[in-house]
Amino acid sequence: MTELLNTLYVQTPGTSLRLDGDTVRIYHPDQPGRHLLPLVRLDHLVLFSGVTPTDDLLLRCADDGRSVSWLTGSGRFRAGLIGPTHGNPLLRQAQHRAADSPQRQLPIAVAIVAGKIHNARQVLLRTARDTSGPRQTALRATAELLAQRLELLTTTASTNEILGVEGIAARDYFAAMPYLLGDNTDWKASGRNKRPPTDPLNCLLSFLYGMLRVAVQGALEQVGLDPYIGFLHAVRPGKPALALDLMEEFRPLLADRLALTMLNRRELTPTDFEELPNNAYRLTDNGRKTVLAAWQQSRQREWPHAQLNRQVPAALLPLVQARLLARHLRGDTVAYEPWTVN
Amino acid sequence: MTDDHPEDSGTDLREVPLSALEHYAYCHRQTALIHVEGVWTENVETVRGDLSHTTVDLPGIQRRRGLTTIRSLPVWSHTHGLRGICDVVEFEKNAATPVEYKVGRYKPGGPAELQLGGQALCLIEAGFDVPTGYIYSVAERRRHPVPIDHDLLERVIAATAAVRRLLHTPALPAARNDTRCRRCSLREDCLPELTDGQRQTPPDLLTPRPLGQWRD
Ligand code: SF4
Repeated sequence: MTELLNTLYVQTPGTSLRLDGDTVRIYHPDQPGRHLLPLVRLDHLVLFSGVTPTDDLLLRCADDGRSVSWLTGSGRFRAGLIGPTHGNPLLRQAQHRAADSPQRQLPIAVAIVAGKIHNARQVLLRTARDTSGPRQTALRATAELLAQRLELLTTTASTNEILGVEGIAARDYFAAMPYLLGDNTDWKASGRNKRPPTDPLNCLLSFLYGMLRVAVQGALEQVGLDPYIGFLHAVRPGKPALALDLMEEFRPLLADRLALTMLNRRELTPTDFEELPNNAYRLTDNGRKTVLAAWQQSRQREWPHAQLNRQVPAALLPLVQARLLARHLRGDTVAYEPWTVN
Repeated sequence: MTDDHPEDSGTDLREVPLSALEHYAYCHRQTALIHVEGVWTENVETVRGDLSHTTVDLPGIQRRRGLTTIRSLPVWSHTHGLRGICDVVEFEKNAATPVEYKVGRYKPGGPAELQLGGQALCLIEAGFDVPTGYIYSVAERRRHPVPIDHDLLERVIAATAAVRRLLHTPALPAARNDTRCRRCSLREDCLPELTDGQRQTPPDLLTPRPLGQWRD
């Protein structure tokens, strides 16, 4: 089993990071003392605005193939560090060829959407199990609806149709958010809205999707896949289509469920969000700290992986799936199988 | 680790890194994963390997009573299209003695000998006598002599040609999925249970499934 490596998230402005032998030295004027982390235990550095790494540290990360990403306060990806790509042109070539050939592309796109729907149903069924009355009925009804959407995938003949099914299923699922949120009156769910999010749930989801996105993109880069050439999402300049593809199967269980748990258990309160004059919501510094801590902790959790027939920590799932995709694209396996929890 | 730079070598042969010989002796797929796919898993073993190398990785020359010891010596063979770096070579008069450092215990006839033989081949082409090489086991803290004989050199030449064919083949060899995989540092990338060429049945993705057994 690959050793579970950590991602270092640094969000306090004014923090500096420097290379000290084989460790990172973390320094902030308000937090005296020595904070050292061995580099061998880190596979990714995620830095928010106002954090300054030295060039020694960045170059060392580039040499070792360790990812470094910069994010905005709301979790949007701003930049990444890429080392000398001594990656694998044959894999990229296979990826591009598969993306160009409907017989190769469509089954992968179907697998991605099917994986997402399976996992979304799990979120619904799991919550339904512990509830009763109309709430349970509503959750089960949405799970049934998603089962029907899944069957629509048997007849899809183009990525447009597959995206269509994905869109309908996402709408059904987000319409059930109020039932997933429960009777906690602090929050109300109003379907998915983004850019900017106009309620706390959406604000939280956007942030967690941002975390998921850097994790997935880091995993793709690590195995040498091109994050910009996808199978489901359309290829457009500046859009990491493959990262968006691979994120789909993880969203419900790794991001949505964490968001719902945090709100339902009141680990976050309305004061962790600020409402801006234009109704947009964003996390406060404190709220972001709480969310990052919860995200870090959720990454340690082990999940069943049916294809590998073992438990895999959440932090490694993107890497495992990126490898499975790479192995499929290189002709080692007959199909790409998404990660589903059952 | 060595890179493959055919354009700046004096040979038309596609060069084979010396380290690939050792990988090839271990597992053909491993060779392709490292030298074609660019996969390199830094697991505990390789990290430890790097640490043991740090002392020999620093280029350096030491002279003592007619014996010259050179660390990190670049070597090549135009005839066989080989290139690499020797951990340590000791020169005395016209004889050269390569010493290859390995983390684990010495295994007679093991893959490391092929790599040592490759180094010897390069040193012979450079005009030295190479009667013996050594494999230094860091675990045992001692060196084991390996006679550089005709048989070893023949095996090196055959393996070099085989690796070159592998580097030219776009498809990857199937995984062996045997006991060797257990100790292989590339296991997580290779996924031998899924890539051993036994055709897997595609999963049924479109039938709804009941609530899984995952714990909360
Ligand atoms: S896991 Fe097994 S098949 Fe794969 S590279 Fe290692 S030894 Fe070869």
